[in-house]
Amino acid sequence: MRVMGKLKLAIVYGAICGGCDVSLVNIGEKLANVLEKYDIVYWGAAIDGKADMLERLDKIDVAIYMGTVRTESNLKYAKLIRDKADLVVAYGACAVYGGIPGLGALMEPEEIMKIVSSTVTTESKEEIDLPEELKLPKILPTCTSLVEVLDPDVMAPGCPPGSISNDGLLKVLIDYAAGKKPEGKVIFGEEQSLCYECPRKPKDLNKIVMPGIYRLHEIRIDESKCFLEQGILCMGPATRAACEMPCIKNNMPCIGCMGPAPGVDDVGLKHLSAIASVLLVDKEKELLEKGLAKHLDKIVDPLGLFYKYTLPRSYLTKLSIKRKRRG
Amino acid sequence: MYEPKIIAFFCKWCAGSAADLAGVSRMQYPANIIPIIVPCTGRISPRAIIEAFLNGADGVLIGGCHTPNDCHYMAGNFKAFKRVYLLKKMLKQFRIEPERLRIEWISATEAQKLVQVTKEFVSQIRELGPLMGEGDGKA
Repeated sequence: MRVMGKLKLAIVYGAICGGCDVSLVNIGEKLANVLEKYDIVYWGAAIDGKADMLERLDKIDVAIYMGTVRTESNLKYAKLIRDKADLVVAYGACAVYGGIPGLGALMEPEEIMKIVSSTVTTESKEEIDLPEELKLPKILPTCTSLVEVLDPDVMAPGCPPGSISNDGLLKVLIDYAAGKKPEGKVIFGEEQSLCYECPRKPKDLNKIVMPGIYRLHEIRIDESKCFLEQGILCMGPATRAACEMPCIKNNMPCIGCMGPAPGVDDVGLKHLSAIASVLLVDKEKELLEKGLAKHLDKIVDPLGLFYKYTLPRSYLTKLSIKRKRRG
Repeated sequence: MYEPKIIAFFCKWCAGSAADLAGVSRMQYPANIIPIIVPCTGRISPRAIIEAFLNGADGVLIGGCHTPNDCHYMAGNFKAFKRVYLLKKMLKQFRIEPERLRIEWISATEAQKLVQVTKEFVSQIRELGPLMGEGDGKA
């Protein structure tokens, strides 16, 4: 198993949908360059190997973690890689910000398990007396991103990470093999928000007026015009430019999977502020509070919209959880 | 007895001036209110409101100019209204009482209204109890 002279690479999962794996494999031939330098010691989806092998290793050089920290087992392996690996990479929106599984951060574990076992399409949960080693790991009271559990050296955001994150990761891996460890924390992407790079950006970013709030099917979307100017909720203003805009290019608004733009710590509040700032600015004095409220009510689920990928890292989540614990 | 801590963001031109007027007119309002004067309510970011809650405030009161035409910066009060409206909706989803956040339009001459609103708000927060339950209040 052990090849002399090669570095050890482990790819470890948290709560994951599998998209990150696909994205990583999608790098294609360039991965061969990495494999020349690295020996994959653990990767649940691609190589034969059990988690206890990982536990037996004394040292790993690079560990890539994908997914949210949701169960006790996730937490255990997250801590394990921090202890053993020299370089830890948080790969994907879940690891960096909490991602879609992170939306469960405010729900009680019992509540979640109840839903899981009581819908029409899921198996009902029956307590079977299983030996300890076959039991499923317990779920944690809340779920967190990897960034809150340990301090990763490299962060590759995105759901799933696109070619900017992937190319960045390859470069880090190859540089590391050559003896160059990245200095400080690395997060892939540009140091600005998506709007600055958007092909649909209007002439003057400061003069965007949102003519109301519409759902995608309600209007015919002009493919060359800014989404916000057409009344479509787009999360571009506060999202980091770290993708090649597959959504925008396919006539879909940004949903913020790349996380907060530089300088933003609570992205949901910034999204909220941005939308409120541009909505119907030309008609405020006719509509007054009542009319504006009616339009704002079209945002049915502000939490789900503004914190789609970042809920566990929101200040409000921390406040709410702490409050619940104190009773 | 439990004394709620309330941060009040008042705009310089309207609610802030009303607070000054209440002061020089020797009208009394509860000392639970800690007023912070800002140039315009449109400048108050949701982050500033949450920061107040995180640092131990049990309620946040925002006082601005009357709509539609009193704002000295054309429409800052409408921006504040939209932000607060959405934020209140979101607070509810976070299981925090939206009543802890309140926005009122108070003009520079309405010292009486300012006194009445603050009294009302303090008693409302007192009924809701401390945001973080018993303890140091800090999140």
